[in-house]
Amino acid sequence: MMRPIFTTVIILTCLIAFAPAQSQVANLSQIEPALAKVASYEYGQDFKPLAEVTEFVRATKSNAELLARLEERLIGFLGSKATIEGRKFVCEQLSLIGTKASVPVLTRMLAETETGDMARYALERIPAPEAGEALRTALAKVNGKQKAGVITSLGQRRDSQAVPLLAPLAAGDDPTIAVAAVNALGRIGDPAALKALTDLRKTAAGPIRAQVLDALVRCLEQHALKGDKQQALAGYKELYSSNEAAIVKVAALRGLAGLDGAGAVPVLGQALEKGEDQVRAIAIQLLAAIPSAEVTNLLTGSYAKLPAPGRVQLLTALVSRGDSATASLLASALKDDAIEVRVAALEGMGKLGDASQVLPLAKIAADSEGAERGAARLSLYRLKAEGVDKAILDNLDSGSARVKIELVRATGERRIEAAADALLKTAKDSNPEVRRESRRALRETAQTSHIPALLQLLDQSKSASERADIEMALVSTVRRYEMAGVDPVVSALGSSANIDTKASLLIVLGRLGQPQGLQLLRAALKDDQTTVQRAAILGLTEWPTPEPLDDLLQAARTSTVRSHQVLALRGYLRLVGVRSRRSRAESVKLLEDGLKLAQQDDEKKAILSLLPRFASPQALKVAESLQEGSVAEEAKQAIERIKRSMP
Amino acid sequence: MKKKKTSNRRQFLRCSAAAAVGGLAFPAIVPAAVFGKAGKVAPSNRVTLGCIGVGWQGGSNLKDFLEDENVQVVAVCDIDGDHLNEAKQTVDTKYGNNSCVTYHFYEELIARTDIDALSLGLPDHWHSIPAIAGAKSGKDVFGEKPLAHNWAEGRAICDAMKRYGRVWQTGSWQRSLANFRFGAELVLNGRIGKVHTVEVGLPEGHTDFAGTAGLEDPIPPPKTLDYDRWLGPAPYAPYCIARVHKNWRWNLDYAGGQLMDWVGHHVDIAHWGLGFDNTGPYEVEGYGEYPNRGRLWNTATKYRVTVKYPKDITMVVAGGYEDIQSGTKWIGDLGWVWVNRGALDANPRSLLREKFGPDEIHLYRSPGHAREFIQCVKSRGQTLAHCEAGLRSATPGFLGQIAMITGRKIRWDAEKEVILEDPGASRLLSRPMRAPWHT
Repeated sequence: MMRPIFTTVIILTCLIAFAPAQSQVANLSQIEPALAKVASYEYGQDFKPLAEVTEFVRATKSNAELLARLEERLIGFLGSKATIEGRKFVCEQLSLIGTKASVPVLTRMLAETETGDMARYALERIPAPEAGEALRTALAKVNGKQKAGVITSLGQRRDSQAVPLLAPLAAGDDPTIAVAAVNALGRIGDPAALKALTDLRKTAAGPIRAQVLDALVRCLEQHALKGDKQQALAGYKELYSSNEAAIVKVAALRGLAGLDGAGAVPVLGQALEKGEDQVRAIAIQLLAAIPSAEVTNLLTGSYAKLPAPGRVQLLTALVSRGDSATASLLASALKDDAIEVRVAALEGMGKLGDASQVLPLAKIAADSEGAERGAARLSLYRLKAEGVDKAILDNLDSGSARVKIELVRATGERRIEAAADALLKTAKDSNPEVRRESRRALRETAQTSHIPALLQLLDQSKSASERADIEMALVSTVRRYEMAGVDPVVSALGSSANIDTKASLLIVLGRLGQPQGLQLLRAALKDDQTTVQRAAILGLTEWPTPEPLDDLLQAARTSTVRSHQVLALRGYLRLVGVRSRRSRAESVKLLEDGLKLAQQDDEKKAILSLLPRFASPQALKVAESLQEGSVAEEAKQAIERIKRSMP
Repeated sequence: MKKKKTSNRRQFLRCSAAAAVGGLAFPAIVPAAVFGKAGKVAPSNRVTLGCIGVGWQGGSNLKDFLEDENVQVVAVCDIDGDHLNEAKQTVDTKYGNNSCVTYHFYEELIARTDIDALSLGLPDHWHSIPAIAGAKSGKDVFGEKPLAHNWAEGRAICDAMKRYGRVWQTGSWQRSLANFRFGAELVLNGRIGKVHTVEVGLPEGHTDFAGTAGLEDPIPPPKTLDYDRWLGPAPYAPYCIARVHKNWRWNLDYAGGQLMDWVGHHVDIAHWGLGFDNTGPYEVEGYGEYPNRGRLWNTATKYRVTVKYPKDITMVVAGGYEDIQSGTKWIGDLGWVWVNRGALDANPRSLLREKFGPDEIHLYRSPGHAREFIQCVKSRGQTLAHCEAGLRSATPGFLGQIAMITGRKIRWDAEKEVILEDPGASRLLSRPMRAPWHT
């Protein structure tokens, strides 16, 4: 279903695009005043007449009859004594709509130094054969850069008829012309161009040689694309076996593999064994793309002979190939002296490894650092094979505490729900790090049935950070099961005698944002104990909707504890920022209420950062009221943002 | 700045001729001494980098590469002497020596056989030529977004990279940030169900990055700038301050305005999440508002491009429309995900806490965009923002521009990469180059 505003835009677009075309069919003369101004146009003058003509050309394109008349008119313009800038502009229009009718006038301009470029730009784009003929004819009449430009345009047009003219130019002494001609031949890429370049290669020396080879490769590509596979294959084979630079052999190998597929394996194998660095690297990539056991053996068999960069490239390619036969190679690469090889092997393990790699990866993650540790962990989290989750659980107690920590972490990262019972036990481990990671993994693995155990853990927690972990685990679990576990949390709040547990549960209820929680939080605001009051403020601050705004504003006004006033005001401001259906003016009013209570710059800055979201005259007024004083700079920025965002 | 280290045209020709006939103008194995301060990575294991275009974004990329111990920046090149001096100073200060060689001509830097890779930080109209030249000489390339000035040049870059087996990374660095990756993973793993709409909100107007708006009077170019080379393949135009550094983006001869500046970011992310790195739309239409107050900054200031893909997916790319939020928003039949710089949101919000199992799609966790490129230079693996992805991300922008300029709906064959039944519009897929430049 199209949105109303979008529909409006489309309609406007159509009106703008097509209405003038219809009304101007009989009114070509309407642009005469604009064309008259274009005729005397110089750089920097009012662009309006040019804009008018541009719009007319655009609108005319769907009307063939008017288009022809317009082209005729523009051709006539070019024959007039218009300024160079004016003619340049008209050439640009003809480059978009010109036909063979435009060619004669552009041909005349092509020979002139001042107008040669603008005419060529138009001729290059006009598909009519006459445009190609004009460019070919011009070759004998222009020199220097102009000639190079004409050559390039012929190349862009893939003008086969130009090849006999370009071949001698490619062999000429002027390097600018020669390079342009060689490049054009490469782009044309037909048999005649291939022959010309092949001949040229026999004698080309100096900087031009690399250009000739590049053009030759592109010619071969054209032949391959057009179905002349034999010619292309022969060319690639010759280039590869020659003494040309390594990069030429790279291109030749790519061409060979692309055309010959598995037939290219012998030559790729040779390149793997004896090629220069760049050639070997491409051979690895190309071989890895050929699916066969023979190739796998070839690749893995060459591994030990390669230098470290080659080993990295080989492992990367084998892994992307997804061949499980690579697994043993990866295992041995874990012991390589070069760290980059070990990291590549570790990364590969994550994609190709199986359950037997769980413990080795965990041990490396535990005992290494930096890139190696990162790669080992990520692979442990990503191992896909059957039995990996079970292997993680089975090995929880089989290593050192550090290994245990890695495995516990993996249960969370992999969301292994079957690990929750084990994690509730390891959450009581003698090692504090194991306990912490277990609490964190429970966030991802615990189920509704584990909520009583989590509540028990909360009750037994000895520090704020432990409680924070369990709070997160409770929130995450209840949310994941669509609030099915909220009732035990509510019950625990009523039954717990532990003040810290009560405080934690209030925060949990705030984050969960369920109706029964709001009542309890409101009641807790009036509790006798300041710890409970504080937790209620924090819980309300976490509320997912603006519903408790008044409660927090009231607490900010009336609390007898200064820190509670500050917390409540900050919570209030947070909730003002939560999405709602209020008008901008209403939101600004809420911020004004908050501002009355703001005693610290931090709160004022928070208000100023919120105001642009409700950009309106009222928001501007509030921001302007803070221009003088300690938050003047923030107020200035807010004013600018509000002005930019005003509806 | 040591003038003697800056090459001139004559030296360049001599040097490139020597390189081409097999002689080496520079040592193939760079002695450790030139690397200055000892790093953790042995000099022989470092990727040698040459940076071409070291002004604004190119200068920023240079600094990123300098932070990677796997990289040795050995040369910088710019046609603005001020940029060049500053870049050399940055490199030499970092390495504690005076070894960074400066070049005025990119051809000369590329001719060096001891340089493994290039970082290109150039205006869009200069993207394709040195990129292709680099590939031809065996260099891997980090290039900026959008991939090229126009579609044909982008395709030529991709073809050259493929032809010569080069590693390419487009500067679409959002792919290297966790929030964008996570957003894309949510979509790829079906968390919002079948995607039917994507909204991509981009900036509008002409941002005056250089504070040069209105400085359009033709004046002689500064002596530190080789203006003719700055124009390069673009049509000749007189020098004026507002045309060049930082604001070239607002002229269609050099770039494509806000739309083309940002397709390489937010459309790129949209495509990433849709798995469209190797395909594209079948239909594009667009409406743009063009300023008529002056010809210099002539890109669309407000625009709306509607892009249709197979499987009933519609993407709206807009700048200056309030209904399209800045960033990328995928909308599916089970919810939506929105991602922007420093922001991520979803409906239902529980999606933000999702984790992906071993059997699901995990996008590569980049160690940093420049760093990931260097890793792939070594491993020969595929980068996160590979060339084809860069071209496919830019294509809705290229076609959107054509749709806006012609006022017509563009039908596109994403496999053959041709505009269907509209030869006039097809003319705009490429742009003739000023001589003697060509790809």
